[in-house]
Amino acid sequence: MLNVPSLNLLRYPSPWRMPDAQCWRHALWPLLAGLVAGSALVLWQVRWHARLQAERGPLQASLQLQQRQQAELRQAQAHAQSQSRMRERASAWQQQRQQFMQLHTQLSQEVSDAGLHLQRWQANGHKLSLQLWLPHPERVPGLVARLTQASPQPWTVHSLAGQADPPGVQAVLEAAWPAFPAGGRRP
Amino acid sequence: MQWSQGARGLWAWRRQRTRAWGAMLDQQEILLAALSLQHNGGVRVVVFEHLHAPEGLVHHVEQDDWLVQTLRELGGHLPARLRTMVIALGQERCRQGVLQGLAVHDARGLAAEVQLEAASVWGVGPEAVGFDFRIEDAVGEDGVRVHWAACLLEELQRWRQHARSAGWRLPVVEPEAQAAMRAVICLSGDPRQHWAVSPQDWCFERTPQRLWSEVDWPQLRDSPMWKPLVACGAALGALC
Repeated sequence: MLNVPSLNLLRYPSPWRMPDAQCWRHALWPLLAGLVAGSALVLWQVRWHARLQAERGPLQASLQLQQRQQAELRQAQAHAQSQSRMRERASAWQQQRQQFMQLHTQLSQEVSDAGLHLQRWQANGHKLSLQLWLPHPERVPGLVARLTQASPQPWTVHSLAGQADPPGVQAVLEAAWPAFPAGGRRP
Repeated sequence: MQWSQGARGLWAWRRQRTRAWGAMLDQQEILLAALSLQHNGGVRVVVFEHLHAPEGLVHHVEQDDWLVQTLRELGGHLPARLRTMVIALGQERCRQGVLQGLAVHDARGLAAEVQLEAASVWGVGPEAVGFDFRIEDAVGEDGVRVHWAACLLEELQRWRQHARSAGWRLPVVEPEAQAAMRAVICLSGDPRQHWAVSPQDWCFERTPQRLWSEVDWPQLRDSPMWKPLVACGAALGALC
């Protein structure tokens, strides 16, 4: 605007030499140090982040593989347990079948030896009861003893009554019978 | 090259202010003017305040508090980029002189000479003055002529601190005569007609409207226009 340069009383002494600037000069080194430290920190964080990103892919794949393996292991364990239960159940069924077969054989033997006539066979819960007819009452104790020997549980006389026609005795025998394993069917 | 030109243009645009404040500091009063650059290139006074320090503020610390409070209230509603102020100092705060016949020609040597001269005029040590100087274009037979102005560095720093604490930028502190000269030379119309006009209605141009020699400086200095012109000239210096 004007041809002559303007005077500015702030120009001299040089701002860097003014006492007010001493604060700046004193603050310069801490400022620079802070800047360097901050830059180093940011650089370190960027590198650390990149490294973490690089490690993340394999770790994630490893995690997925581990999860898949764990799932397969759980499935295999469940399958093995199921197989084991099935084997146990088959074994129990087999054992009971043998016990029934023994009982059946013994009863067949009694039919031919003692003239036993089996009128009713009833399985109720854990109890097995037999209603039968014998021509001679004195043969009842022997029959109970032999059935007990052929069965896993002892047999007891529940009721005993004489009968005229045909002459003989009407008896009801009972025995506790082991329960079948849960979840299965009787063979 | 293109990017450097673009950067220069951007820098020039960044530096171009559309509004600036000027202040004339006196012992018990402050004259403040805000000038705004118009679309047609002219400059108008948008704010003019003549503030008197409350009576009873004898101690300079109290006056400083009042000054800081005044500046804070003035700039409270302004965005930070508009809080730029140029301060013009009266004769009692700023001494001026001319050094002649200096054999030194380098800037550092001249600065040292001026600093010693200003310090002796103020009667303080060389480190206690803030100053500036201007070398006259025409070199005489007895060497260069240097115009200088100086004030006490302590006051200078105090004003800077006050301005900063009140949120203002203070890029320039100048002698009142320089600010008044700028205002008068750029004032639109006949300065004598402005005697009867409020400073609020003054208009300025960014280019000189008259020559230095056309102005009756002694008469102007004694007129009531002087201090308002100083405040407006200071603001004008920040705008141009």
